[in-house]
Amino acid sequence: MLRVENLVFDYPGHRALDDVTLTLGQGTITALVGPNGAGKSTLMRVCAALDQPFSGQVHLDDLDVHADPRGAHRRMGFLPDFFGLYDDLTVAQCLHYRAASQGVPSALRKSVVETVAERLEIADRLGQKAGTLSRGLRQRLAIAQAVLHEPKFLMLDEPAAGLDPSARIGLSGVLRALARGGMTVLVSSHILAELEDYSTHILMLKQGRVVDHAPLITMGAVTGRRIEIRLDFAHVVPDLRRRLAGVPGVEVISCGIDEAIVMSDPDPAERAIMLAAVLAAGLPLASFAPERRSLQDIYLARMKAVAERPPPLRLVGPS
Amino acid sequence: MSLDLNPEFQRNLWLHLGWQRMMAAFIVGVTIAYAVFLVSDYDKVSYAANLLSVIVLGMWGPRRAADALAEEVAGGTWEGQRMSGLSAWAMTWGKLIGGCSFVWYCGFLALAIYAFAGFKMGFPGGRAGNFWLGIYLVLIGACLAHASAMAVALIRLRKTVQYRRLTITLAQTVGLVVYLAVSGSGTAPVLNDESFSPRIGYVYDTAYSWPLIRAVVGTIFLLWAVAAVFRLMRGELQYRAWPWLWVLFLGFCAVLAAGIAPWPGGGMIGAALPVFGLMVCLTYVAALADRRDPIHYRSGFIALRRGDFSRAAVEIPWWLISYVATIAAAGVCLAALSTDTSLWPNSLTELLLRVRLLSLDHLVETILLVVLFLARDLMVLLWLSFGEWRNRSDITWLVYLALIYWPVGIILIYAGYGQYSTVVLPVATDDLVLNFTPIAVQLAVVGAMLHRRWIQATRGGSAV
Repeated sequence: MLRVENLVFDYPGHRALDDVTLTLGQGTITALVGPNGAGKSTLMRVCAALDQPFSGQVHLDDLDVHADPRGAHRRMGFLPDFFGLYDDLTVAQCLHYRAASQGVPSALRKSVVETVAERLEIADRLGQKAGTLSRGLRQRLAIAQAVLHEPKFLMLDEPAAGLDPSARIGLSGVLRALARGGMTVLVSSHILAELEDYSTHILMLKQGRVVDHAPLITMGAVTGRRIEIRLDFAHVVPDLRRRLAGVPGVEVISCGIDEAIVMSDPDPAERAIMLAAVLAAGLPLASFAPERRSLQDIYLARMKAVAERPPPLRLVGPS
Repeated sequence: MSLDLNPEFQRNLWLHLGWQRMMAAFIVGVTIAYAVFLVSDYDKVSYAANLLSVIVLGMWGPRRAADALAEEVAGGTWEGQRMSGLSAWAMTWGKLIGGCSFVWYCGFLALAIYAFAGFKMGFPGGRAGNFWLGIYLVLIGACLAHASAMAVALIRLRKTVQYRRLTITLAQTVGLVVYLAVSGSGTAPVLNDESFSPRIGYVYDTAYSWPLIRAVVGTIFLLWAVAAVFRLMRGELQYRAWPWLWVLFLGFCAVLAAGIAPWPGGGMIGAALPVFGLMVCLTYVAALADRRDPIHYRSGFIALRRGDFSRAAVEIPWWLISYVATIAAAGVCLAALSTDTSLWPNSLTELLLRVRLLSLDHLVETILLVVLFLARDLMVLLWLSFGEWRNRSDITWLVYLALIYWPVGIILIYAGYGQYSTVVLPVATDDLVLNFTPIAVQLAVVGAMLHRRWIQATRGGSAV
């Protein structure tokens, strides 16, 4: 879907992106996190073909976004952190303008505008001027403008900034619905709890480098090369630790009277073997799932693990 | 069947051309014209209408053209436009005409009143010598002014999104100057002056009226200005292009400067010297307009080292092309001077002698000094641009130029140290050593400083 290869972006005296390589799969929602100055916004702007990298490439499917920026823009949407609206135009005019500027044929524009307005729940505001909308509704209108041409790839930079809790919940619903429709979404935010609600993957940046990029569900349980599995049992199991330790392939990390955390190989086939072994041991297993830690815990642990080092400016060739 | 307008043009019409505004402008315009007619005559009506067209098309228009872009940036909608599927050409004319749509409406209203007054007076020639040529000059001057203002705004936008007011004022000033240069400020006031005849100019030794020259040259410059806006807009959309447009523009300017000489019959040197002077000016302008981003320069260097000439050509700064053109023009001047000094025109000699510091005896050395001083100034600008003062390098450089070429030079001369004026001024004297040693030392020092800063900006350090 989106393929970033060896991306390097420099500002004078400072490397903002250092050899960034990643792939985002279709229908995923990737949370882009990292400390201030990590290069999150720069990565988004380079992926959106708003800035030229020093070297490296960004491909949206088979399209090199920097070779054909306009072609890429017709396939992607981007909502920057500080977005603006044409306050003196009505919501309908804003959407019609956007539809026309994205090349939606004039015969289809009316239905496209109505559909996206329904989708973003602003259909009752079409006659209202954009300047009179609340913060949450402005956000919805901005997202509507970004997705109205049905892009394959959507980037949102701090979309929840300034939104009240109910508007944030609404935003989560909107993003999940877009991803269900096959759209690939990349969201940058500092509000980790909110990202946890709707993200499928997490991409951590620090000092312009990728620290980690993995599905959230496995990342929450990964310890080194292995993952932690949480076992819940239907009732209290006497002598649980000893019985679990006797199951082949099980390494117990912690154990209670009706629950335990064990280590497993990340390979799903290995996990299936372990599950079968636990059941074969006659234990009253009620659930077997990777242990999820909060995104904040994962984030802090990963960031701490990566040593601070100033990125050098190397004389590598431009793309 | 609905008319499928350029979306950017349509949006600007929605924003700027409401029927209430159109009605109000019409009522105000007609009321003023009728009041002027009642207290005087049609000549004064044409005068008032012409004044109004200068204010509307020459002053307000460039401001609107620049603000059509600046307000997008300030309002946070510019990134959205850059992410749209609109072509650079659609954005160019959609903004240029749509953003100034109300200005054009008011301007056409003023010109309609002007034409009506002219009709009542039997369409007198006025300063252009021809009534309709006068109107054409106003229209072409306005188009050129608006396009120039938008080009200035786009150039500023490439460098910084701050200082909106400064950007607009600068663009408006450039636009007004261009408008006045092409249309002339006083086409209308002497509509009924039968004794007036337009000034004559020479294009490659053939005489034409200046209004006609302005009309033709203004039209060609309009095409250049629109091409420049288009090229800059494409740059904003991250399309890479070779600098062929600038090369062609330099060539056009050289042909123009050589052909439209203020002194006819100047021979080869009479044609080459204005070209040289123009190339020097264009080098300064191009250097000021360039982003001077060391990262782009480094990309160009590396591409050149790898033999990727296509990519290297994309990164060539326009000032460097202009500087090479300056050197070429200097070469032509030196060749003309060395072949036959009898080619020196009397009128040019007189002109140069009026500039007290210049001496034709050392014209060759002076031309060489100008080339070297230009190199020094460019290096100073780059040194400023690669450092912590990057965002203020333009204004710092302008202050530096103003100081070094004006008060410091005057102080040296009037304090009795005129023989040392080559320290700050490219004006040759009898002493060959004193002519070239100061600038050689300056070039060495500035070169070393620039190299140090280049290393900081491109291989680590904290230049920013």
